[in-house]
Amino acid sequence: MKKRFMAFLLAAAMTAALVGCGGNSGDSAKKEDTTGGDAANTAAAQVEVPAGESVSQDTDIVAAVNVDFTTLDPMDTSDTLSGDIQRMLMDGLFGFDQEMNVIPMLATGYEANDDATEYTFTLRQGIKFSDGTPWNAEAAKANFDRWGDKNLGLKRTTLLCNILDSAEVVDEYTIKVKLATPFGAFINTLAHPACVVVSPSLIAQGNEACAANAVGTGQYRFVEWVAGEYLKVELNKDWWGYDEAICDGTPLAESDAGFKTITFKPVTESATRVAMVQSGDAQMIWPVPAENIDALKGDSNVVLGAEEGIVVRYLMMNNQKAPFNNVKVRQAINYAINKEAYVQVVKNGYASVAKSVIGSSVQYYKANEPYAYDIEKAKDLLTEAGYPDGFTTKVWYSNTTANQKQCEFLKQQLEQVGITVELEGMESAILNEKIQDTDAKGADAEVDMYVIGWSPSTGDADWGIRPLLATESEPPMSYNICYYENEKVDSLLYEALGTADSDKRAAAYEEVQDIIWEETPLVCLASDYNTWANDKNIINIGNTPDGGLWIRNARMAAK
Amino acid sequence: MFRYIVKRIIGVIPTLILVVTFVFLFVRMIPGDPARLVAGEQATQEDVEIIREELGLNESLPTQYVNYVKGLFKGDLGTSLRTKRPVLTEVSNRYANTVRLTLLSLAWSSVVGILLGVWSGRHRSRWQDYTGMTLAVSGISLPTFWIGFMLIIVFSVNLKWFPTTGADGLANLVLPAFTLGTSVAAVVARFTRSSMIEVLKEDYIRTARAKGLKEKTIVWGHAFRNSMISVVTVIGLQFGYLLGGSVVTESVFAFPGLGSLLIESVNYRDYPAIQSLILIFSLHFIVINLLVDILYAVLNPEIQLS
Repeated sequence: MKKRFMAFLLAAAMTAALVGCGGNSGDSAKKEDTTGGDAANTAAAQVEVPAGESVSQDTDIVAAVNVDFTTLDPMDTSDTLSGDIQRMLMDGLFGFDQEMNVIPMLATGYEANDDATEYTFTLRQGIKFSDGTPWNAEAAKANFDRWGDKNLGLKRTTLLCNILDSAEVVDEYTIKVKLATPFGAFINTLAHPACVVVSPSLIAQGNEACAANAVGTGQYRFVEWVAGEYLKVELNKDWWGYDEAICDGTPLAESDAGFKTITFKPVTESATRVAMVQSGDAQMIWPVPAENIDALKGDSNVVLGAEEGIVVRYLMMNNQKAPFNNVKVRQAINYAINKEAYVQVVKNGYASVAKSVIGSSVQYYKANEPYAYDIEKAKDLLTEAGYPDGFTTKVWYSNTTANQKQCEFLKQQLEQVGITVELEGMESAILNEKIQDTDAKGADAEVDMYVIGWSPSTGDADWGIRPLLATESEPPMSYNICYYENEKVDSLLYEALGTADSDKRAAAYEEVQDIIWEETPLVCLASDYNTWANDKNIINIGNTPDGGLWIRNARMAAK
Repeated sequence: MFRYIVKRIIGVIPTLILVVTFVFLFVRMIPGDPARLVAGEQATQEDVEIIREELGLNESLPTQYVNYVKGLFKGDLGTSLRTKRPVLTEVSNRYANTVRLTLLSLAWSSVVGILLGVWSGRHRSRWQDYTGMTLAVSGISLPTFWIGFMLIIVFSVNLKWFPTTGADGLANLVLPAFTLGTSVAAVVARFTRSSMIEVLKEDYIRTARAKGLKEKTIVWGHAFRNSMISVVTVIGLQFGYLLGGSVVTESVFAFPGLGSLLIESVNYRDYPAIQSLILIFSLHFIVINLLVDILYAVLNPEIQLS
């Protein structure tokens, strides 16, 4: 959910690397095998774990992660990691599979009316929460009521509170939900990690209880959380996902998958995480920053993984302000940036060139041809737009190492076509304040260019596009820092939101993506890869495209 | 002595009021909106407003201040904006860790620093001095994160003698304590050396030598004892500084102490947590200064407490 950054080498190293980035076949080979999609770029040989022979359910493991957890309350979670843990402890009505396709979880299906204002869900039967409370329509209603409660005062309250109207128990395993407004992305939103289901008994104890404890129906049960030190979970062997009958014939996980306990430890320093997996103090680590990947590749006891995620990196431009109010200038900038080089230099090869405003695993993604790297064309466009000698502008960014490197690269690229870029890195809280707490909008806004990464955690095109490019999302409401206003785009976005018909939605989003590609209110640079590493005896470790840990089917060979 | 201590403690009260007030104001002068940070980077304006109200940040500054001070009297340090748990809980979880790490680091680094300093000082400008001071300068100059990573690579990854991270037992403390103590040992060594050199020039040392006292007695019984005043001051200051938790060492070893808590809190504009931590750090220095003053009198009865 949060922008995720890998830590990178210093900007100085980048300049050096830039020189040799043209035709470095070694680098592109590395990129090839990381795009395989099956986490195939392993350093160590992958072990075989025959069915029924996994020792994982008798094994306690340690997993090191990059930040501390903030809460166990799904509705109060704004960081990816806490969401990851919650998804292991609690299931939603819907969820994602590893490719981020929506799959039914605690619901088996739904029916919606034509204008997407009334949804009837059938619930899966035979499931209990870890405190023994049965999962049924009453429990579902308790959760819908919580999600719709405007006075909840939690970070994710607005995800659904303006959309939900009422929830009504039809029978023990059927619930009917009325929406206040048509909302085509409803099912995807219910698959959002904030909408995992909490036991009604815990909800009754209030927000504080929900923050400190987790009672769900998940594959793991919550054991203990010592802030700053660790969070421990244990396997729930009675999880419904192992049960063939409850899962209508196809269990979500093999019966011998999952670990006896997992202790998650926050380790902010990435080199320390790497040392932990190398020394055996941890069996899993993620993320693995690009500069540590090569070190791990030589280790025969560690398996490395990298897969394309849904975070897309953008260079935003203030579309209402000269010179960016001229589409030719924006296109020129797009042509002037060599995205292949960006991937190699800024991301060390661990990213792929963006082909749309949203990542390839986001629903309703439509690939377009990336703007070719063409300095001459860029210069011609600038001349046509009246800027034959270029211009001077500035780019704002939060001053992480990764961002610094990224902006140095962009500056160097734009200089080639005569555009002088001043880099203004700021601490993220200050930057946010400058962007969001301003009365000056559009042409009057101070911002010229802005670097941002966005991760649409519902996996739906709506959350990937609307907060960034709809007119309603201009600061301070959301993140349309481009101040891009296009009536056609707006109306298509609302049209897609106002229907549950996925063909209509796909058509609308396809058109939106084409318009954005043509008008290029922002430059879509690249999709980041998610990276992780684990003990070579463990298999089926992965990441979901939104950067979450995916270990539902993790199994382990005996040593 | 008792009266002196009571007086000193009463004298601390205005300092504390100043600290509480300044911390409260300064924390609020940091640019950046805590409500927006708490709400998360993808939050909408509406989310942010809901959070602001929830956190009481829509109240006026004087009201917030009064609420804060009232809480302090009740022993309530407030609720962390980041985790929504009482700050007292957040701090106490990590306090014991930092104290253990501090004591261990300080113990070895004081002993090593003093020995090295005395050795260098009494052999001024000879090879012992150069060796000692080369070690001391290295100890100060080597970056903490580098020492930490080297120790991890050698002792955790290769030799597997000590765990990389954690705070469970003594084994977990060895590497961070070594890392943290290195620069302290170096500072102590340098102070001890220069102090020894000064004292060894004194007349009473010449007298002692003239009396035919053993060199050992002169160095440890006379010179060392008299050079301890400045050394104790330095160790006291280092103690206070270490109790504040080391941000770098704690990050490298993922050590759950006060330093990492402070950094996380600042990044989050977690006002209640920052305020409380600074208050606690100030208390540390006040208490340590008091103890150091008393130690002076013990070490050198010439210092009269009046």
